[in-house]
Amino acid sequence: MNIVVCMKETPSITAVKRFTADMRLERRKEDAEINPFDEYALEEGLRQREKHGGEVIALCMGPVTATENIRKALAIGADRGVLVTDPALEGSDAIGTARALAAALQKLGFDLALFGSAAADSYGGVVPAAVAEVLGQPLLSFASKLEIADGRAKIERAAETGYQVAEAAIPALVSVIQTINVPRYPSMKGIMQSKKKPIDTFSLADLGVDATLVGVAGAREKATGSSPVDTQRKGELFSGNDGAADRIVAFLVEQKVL
Amino acid sequence: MANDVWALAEIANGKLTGVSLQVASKAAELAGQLGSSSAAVAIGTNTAAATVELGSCGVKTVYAADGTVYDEYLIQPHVDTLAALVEQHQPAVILFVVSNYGRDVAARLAARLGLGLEYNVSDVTVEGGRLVLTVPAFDGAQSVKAKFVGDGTKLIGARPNAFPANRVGGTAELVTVAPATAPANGAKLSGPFGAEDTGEAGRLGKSADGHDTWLPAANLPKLEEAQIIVSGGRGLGGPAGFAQIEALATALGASVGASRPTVDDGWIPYAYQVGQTGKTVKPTVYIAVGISGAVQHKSGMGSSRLIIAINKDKDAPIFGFCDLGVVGDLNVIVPQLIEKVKQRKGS
Ligand SMILES: Cc1cc2nc3c(=O)[nH]c(=O)nc-3n(C[C@H](O)[C@H](O)[C@H](O)COP(=O)(O)OP(=O)(O)OC[C@H]3O[C@@H](n4cnc5c(N)ncnc54)[C@H](O)[C@@H]3O)c2cc1C
Ligand SMILES: Nc1ncnc2c1ncn2[C@@H]1O[C@H](COP(=O)(O)O)[C@@H](O)[C@H]1O
Repeated sequence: MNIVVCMKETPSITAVKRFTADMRLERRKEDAEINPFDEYALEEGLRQREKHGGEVIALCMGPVTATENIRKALAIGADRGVLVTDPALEGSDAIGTARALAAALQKLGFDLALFGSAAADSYGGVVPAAVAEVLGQPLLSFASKLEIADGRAKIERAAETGYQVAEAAIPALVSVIQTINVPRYPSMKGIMQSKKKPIDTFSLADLGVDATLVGVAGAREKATGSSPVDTQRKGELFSGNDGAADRIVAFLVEQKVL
Repeated sequence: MANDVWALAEIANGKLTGVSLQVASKAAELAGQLGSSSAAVAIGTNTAAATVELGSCGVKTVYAADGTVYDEYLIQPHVDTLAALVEQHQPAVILFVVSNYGRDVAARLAARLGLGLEYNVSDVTVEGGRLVLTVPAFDGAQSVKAKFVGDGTKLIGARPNAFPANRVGGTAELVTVAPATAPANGAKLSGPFGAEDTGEAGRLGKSADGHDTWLPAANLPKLEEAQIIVSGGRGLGGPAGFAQIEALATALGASVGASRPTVDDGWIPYAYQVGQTGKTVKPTVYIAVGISGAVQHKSGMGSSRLIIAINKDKDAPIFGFCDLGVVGDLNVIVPQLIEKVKQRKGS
C-alpha cells in the first residue's frame, strides 16, 4: 500500500511568535517542529504499513529548511520524504496549500493519504478537505480509528454522543485526531537509517501548478495589522479549604452569573 | 443579491446546533449594516424546525434542503447543495461556525469555487461598506485585522460563542431547495453509535477496551455553547472524580470539560477535551478543577471571560492566568461548592 502522510512544519507552542513586516508568521528554523497533530497521522501510516505492507512517504510543503523535520519523520519510520518548495509558494493560504499538496499527491500516487486534524500555527483544519475537493475525492475526516479492508477505508469519528462510522473506497484521504494512537519516538537505529533515506524536492513547475493560484498571488485574504491583547486578569488568590466555597459563590454572584 | 449576508446552519441528526443561531444572528446584523438582505442555509433533515428557529434570529430567508442523503454521506452532498445556491445567488458573505462540519463544508466550497476563506474569526465589522475581520493569533496574545482581496463570495468561520444568539423575533421566508443526489464517489456514513444516550444523569460506564469511563449526561449544554464550563483534570484522581465535576456543572447549569491526560487515560470521552488538540471554548466562566494550566490547555480556554481555578499547588501555572484562584483541596471544596450553589439557586 502506498501511504502518503501530509506533515506541516510549525513553530513549537513555546516559541516566541512574531509577525514579519508583511504580517506573516515569522518562521524561525530553530523553533520549527513537526506539527504535533501530524505525528498521529505519521504513526497511523506506520501502523497501516505494518499491517498491509508498502511504503510511507512524508510529504511536506515548506521552506528548504523543513528538510530537517522530514528527516525526523524518516527517523521515526517513514521510508522516504518529499518536500514541495518554491519561492512562489510563500504566503499561500489554505486553499493555495491544498492545490500544491493535491498536485504532489497526484504525482506520487497513493492508496491512503493521511493528514493531521489541524496545524498548530493557525488551527485551520481546512487543508485536508480542500485537498480532497481538488482531487474530487471524499475525505474521511477527524478519524479516531482507521481500518483498511477489502479495498475500503473505514473510520470512526467522534460525534457529540457516541461516534459515527464512515467509509470510502481506496484511494482514500483520511484526517486523524489525537485519540487514534500514541505516536512512537525515533529510535537510535531509526536515526541512523534516516540519513540514508531519500528526500525528493518538487517545485511548482515539477507539479504543473499555476503560480498565480498559490502563494501571495493566489491568497484571497490579507492581514492588515495587529495589536497586542490585554490578557491581564484579576488574579485574586484565596488560600485554604475553609471559606473557599463561599468565596467562589460570592465571586459568581458579584459577576452576576449566579 | 451581491451584497447579501448568509449564515450556514449546522443540523446534526435532525437537530439545529445552538451555535448556528449565533452566526444567523450575526448575518442579520451585518446585513442591516450593509443595507442588504440576510439568509440562512439549512441542509439536512428536519429543516422545517430549523427554519423557525433561524427566522427568530432575524434572517429574512431560509434556504432549506431536506433529505436523508445528507445523513447518509459525509459532507459532499452538503457542499453540492451549498455550491449550487452560491452560484445562483452570489451572496457577499457566508458565515459559518468552525466546527468539524463547518470546516469540511467551507474548505471544500472554497476549493471548488475559488473563494476567500478566513477562519477562527472572533469579530466582523463593517467599515466604509467593507468587511473587517478580527482574528486572534498567538493563542490570543495578538489581535489581527484582516480583509479579503478579490471578488466572489467570502467565507468567514467564526469561533463558537464569538457572537451572541439574538432572538430578535421574526419569521423567515422559506425557500425549499431540492436535495442533492448521492455522490458517485462518496464517503458513506452510519451512526452515531456507541455510548448513545446516557439519559438524565452521568454515569460510570465502560470504554471500548473495558476500563471505567465517565459518561456525562446527554442533556448537558454543549461545550461550545455553554456559558459556564466546569472542567476537570488529573487532580480528580480517576474517572469517578468526574461525578463531582458533573454534579457541580448540573447545579450551575454548566457543561463539563476535561484536560487531555484524563481523556488519554480514558476517564472521559474525547468530545469533552478542552485545549490545543481538543475544543476551543469561550464561556463566560471557566472553572478549572485539578488542572495545572499547561500552555496546551490554556490555548483552548484562555479567552474565557472569567477563569476560576481550584488547585492544591500554589505554584500551578493556572494561577498565572485566572481571575479567582483557590489554593486548596478539590475533594473538600467541590462538594461544599455544590451544596452552596444549590442553596443559592433554591433561594
Ligand atoms: C502536542 C500536545 C497537545 C496537547 N493538547 C492538550 C489539550 O488539548 N488539552 C490539554 O488539557 N492538554 C493538552 N496537552 C497536555 C498538556 O501539556 C498537559 O500535560 C495537560 O494539560 C495537563 O493536564 P492536567 O492539568 O489535568 O494534569 P496535571 O498537569 O498533572 O495537573 C494536575 C493538577 O491537579 C492538582 N491537584 C492534584 N490533586 C489535587 C487536589 N486534591 N485538589 C486540588 N488540586 C489537585 C495538581 O496540583 C496539578 O496542578 C497537550 C500536550 C501536547 C504535547
Ligand atoms: N504545508 C503543509 N505541508 C504538508 N501538510 C500540510 C501543510 N499544511 C497543512 N497540511 C496538512 O493539513 C492538515 C491540516 O492543516 P491546516 O488546515 O493548515 O490546519 C495538517 O495537519 C497537515 O496534515
